[in-house]
Amino acid sequence: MNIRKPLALAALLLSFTLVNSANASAVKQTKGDFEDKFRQLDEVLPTPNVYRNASGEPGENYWQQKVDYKIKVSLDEEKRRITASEKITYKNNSPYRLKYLWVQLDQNRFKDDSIANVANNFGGLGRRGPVNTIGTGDKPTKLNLTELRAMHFKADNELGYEISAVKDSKGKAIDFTVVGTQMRIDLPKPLKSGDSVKFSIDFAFNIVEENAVSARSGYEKFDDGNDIFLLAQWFPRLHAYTDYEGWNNKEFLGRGEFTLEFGDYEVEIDVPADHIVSSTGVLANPKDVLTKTQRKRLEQAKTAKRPVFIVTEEEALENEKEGTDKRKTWTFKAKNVRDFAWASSRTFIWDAKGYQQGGDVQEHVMAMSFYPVEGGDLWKKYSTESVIHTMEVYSRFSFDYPYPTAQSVNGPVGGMEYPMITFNGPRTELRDDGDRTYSQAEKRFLIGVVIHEIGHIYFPMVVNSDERQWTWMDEGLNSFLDGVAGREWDPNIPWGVEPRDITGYMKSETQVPIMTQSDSILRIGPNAYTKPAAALNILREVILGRELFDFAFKEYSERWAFKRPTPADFFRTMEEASGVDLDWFWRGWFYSTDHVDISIDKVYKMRLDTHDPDIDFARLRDIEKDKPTSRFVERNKAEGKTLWIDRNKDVTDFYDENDRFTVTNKERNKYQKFLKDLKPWEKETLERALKEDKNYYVLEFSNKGGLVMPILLELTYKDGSKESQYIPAEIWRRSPKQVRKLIVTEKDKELASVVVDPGWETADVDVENNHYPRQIIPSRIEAYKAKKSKGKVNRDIMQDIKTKLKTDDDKAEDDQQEKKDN
Amino acid sequence: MPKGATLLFSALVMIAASLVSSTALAHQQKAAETTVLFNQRSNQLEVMHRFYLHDTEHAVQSLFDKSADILDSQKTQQQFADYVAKQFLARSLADEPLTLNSVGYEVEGKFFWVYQETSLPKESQGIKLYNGALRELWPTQVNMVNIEGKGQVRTLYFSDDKDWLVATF
Repeated sequence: MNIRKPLALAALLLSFTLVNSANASAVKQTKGDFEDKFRQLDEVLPTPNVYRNASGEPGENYWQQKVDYKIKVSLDEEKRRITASEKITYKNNSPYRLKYLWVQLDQNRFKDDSIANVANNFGGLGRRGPVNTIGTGDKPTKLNLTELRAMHFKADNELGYEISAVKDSKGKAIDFTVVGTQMRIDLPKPLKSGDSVKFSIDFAFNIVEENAVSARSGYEKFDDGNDIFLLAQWFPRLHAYTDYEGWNNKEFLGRGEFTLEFGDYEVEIDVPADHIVSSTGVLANPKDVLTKTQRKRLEQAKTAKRPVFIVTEEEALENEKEGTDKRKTWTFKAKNVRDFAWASSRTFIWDAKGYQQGGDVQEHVMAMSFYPVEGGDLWKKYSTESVIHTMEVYSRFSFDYPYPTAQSVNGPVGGMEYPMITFNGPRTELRDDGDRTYSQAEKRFLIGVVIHEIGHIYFPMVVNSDERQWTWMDEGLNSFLDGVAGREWDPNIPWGVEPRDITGYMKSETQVPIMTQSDSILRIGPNAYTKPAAALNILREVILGRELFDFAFKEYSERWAFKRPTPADFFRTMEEASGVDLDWFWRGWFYSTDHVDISIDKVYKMRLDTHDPDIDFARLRDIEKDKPTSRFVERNKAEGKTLWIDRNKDVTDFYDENDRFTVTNKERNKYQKFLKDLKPWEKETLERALKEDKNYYVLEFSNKGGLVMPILLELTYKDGSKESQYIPAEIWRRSPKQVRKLIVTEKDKELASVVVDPGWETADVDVENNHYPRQIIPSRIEAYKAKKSKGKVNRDIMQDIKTKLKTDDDKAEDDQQEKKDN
Repeated sequence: MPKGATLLFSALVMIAASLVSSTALAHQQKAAETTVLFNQRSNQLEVMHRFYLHDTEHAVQSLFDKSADILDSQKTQQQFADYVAKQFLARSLADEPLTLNSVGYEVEGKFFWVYQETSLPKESQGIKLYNGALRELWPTQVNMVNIEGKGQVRTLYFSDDKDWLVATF
């Protein structure tokens, strides 16, 4: 026994060590500090397989499930409550047998005992919704009113799903287990690969008030008693079952949105008869719910130049006043969508304009907007037009917009997307004089948010990436594209992400890599929107160029339209379609928190030795002569000190005539031997180089930020001319911290200065070390002070512009006047 | 003593400004960035606040009045700069206040900048900062402060419960 003990301990230690190294990277550099910034992403990316291949394409056996829904839903306006029944057809396209299905119950997030509520870090970083202030000793803890309002709302209202029945196609009850925001349905018999199962769920829930509880949908109360209802994440939806993760069981905590399966929908929406409904899909029974006039206007809108009102402002205002006990059922059908959302209100103005897209996919798309009178001219002028502009730009970068409608609905949600329908928040303000006005910023917000949300119909509603896991895959790509669309709307409005906008974040300490699961991200805005958008912008404008980038990006979009890409599929496609190795780029920008800071530390000039002593020694003598003389000797001279050698001129020797640069035949013979020993090509090369006598400059760079990037150089010569040079990022491959670059110029092209990234295109965080020789780069404040003094802002141009241009006669008069005055 | 034992609840009165939390799109970012630069050349401690114009656009209407206009009204811009000056405070490690003087403000692209400065403090082992700008207005407001010019960039992150924060070099 005694003998075995140490052995056991040794075994324990051994296993501990093994586990430890397994947790770290599989490949480790344990000698020296070399870091391979260009290491291929081999073990970082999942192993390619028959479902998704090594090129980033759907593999030969790619599969995804299909889920069709038939839903009957009724809105109880007074109780603000939804009652519904859904019939689901689940088609198992996976090669596996399924004993159970998982369903998402997003509304359960609002339940008291949800993980989102219970695991709510009071006053914690980056949580959704209101924030509180923790007290410290002498300071009271603050609980803000918004939090209290949310608590009250949750206390007063029973929230979350009431699931009254889950039944098979014969009406027999099926067992189900609710686990937080998820529900497991145990199938009566396992669902074989290729088979379908039908079942139904009866459910109801009380709608949340969006302004009371931070959500992505809900109702908004108006003072006159009317509401806008936005219904999203409203029906139990099948969880994604995928080749890369199996069932996607990640509790809904509020931030990480969702991914779903594609399918066909038929939804009957029963609402008060005076409501207008906007919804995913196409209205299947217009004759039952629309007036003849409305249908006629819709027909006109198809080919109209500007949006046509289906419901005018006056009609909406009139409609708001009445109210009714009657009901109408709106039926919408949608094919191949991954979700379904709708909005309903009697306050809606409704405008529409057809977009002639052409092509085979979807020749005509009806762009529509729904908004209360609060939307005002802002919505009338710009919402539907922004919808169309988005489709024009995004389709160029990806694929034709694939659905028959594209809608923008105003309500209490700041901005959120669903297939064919988006919720957008901007509004006008009612002024005392009765006008409805809006600021320039609100206008930018409206156009920007509509572009962004309609853009989401492409990513992730068609290119079905998983936002629960990787927020950046749709937000980053979409922020990049909304910047493209915005700049094509009006470049005078500051749209999009410039590399310089992200430097403050990238050098900060509070950040995590882009490749972080959504709920764990510390700063979601810069992490999942701005940084990836800036990265893609740099990839396009600096690294790949527009042609290669656009080709690869379109290839990614087309490959994964109506399919489910993962980050690896994006990285692999962009690389293989552009033909450019980008592993270093993904590694630096997406898998690390490094930033860009390339410094030019030194520039030195070299001249080729001729090896001819009669030339080289003379040059060395000149170099020596050019050095400043000794201050000591100069001062002696100034003081009139006489020298021994001057006082004793009769004593001289050989060295008074010959300095140390004197050439003898010994050197000349050596030179002749050197020439003789040269191979013919060596001689030829030397002779040519000597004849050309070019300038050789060595530029020394260091990488202070860690992120390797191409070096963009601007060389300024003494003759005033400038030249740009692009050094690919690969220069850093074997020496990621410091590199040298040899630049050779013609004899008369002498280098005066060098600037790295003069156009601020690479998100380099420190501009000061980008100049050689160093320059004093004013800080923002210093620059501001300098600008202010010559900013010409103090001129009253409105007054000065009335000034008459003077003629010669006027001048003469002035001169006369001046003389008199003097 | 555990903090919980002495906690009081006091409700923080919120102005009912657009509290709609942005979801899929953070157009109203409710996020500001500040650079505090120890500028050895000018011998000044320079403070540069960067706000999203769209945030300030909404903020000024709640903070001042409905007609406030950060884009076009110099009066509003000055008011906002003054507001920021009241919300951003600096102290030495020994708790001596460092009074920041107003330098100015400007609109650049999608940002509104506010500038402040003071002489470089004698002591330079660290600095205490408080950044409350917009945080009482919007509980989700986050203010990131990068401290530069003292070696590696240090970051203070003002959100939620954060009161005075200390950066040491």
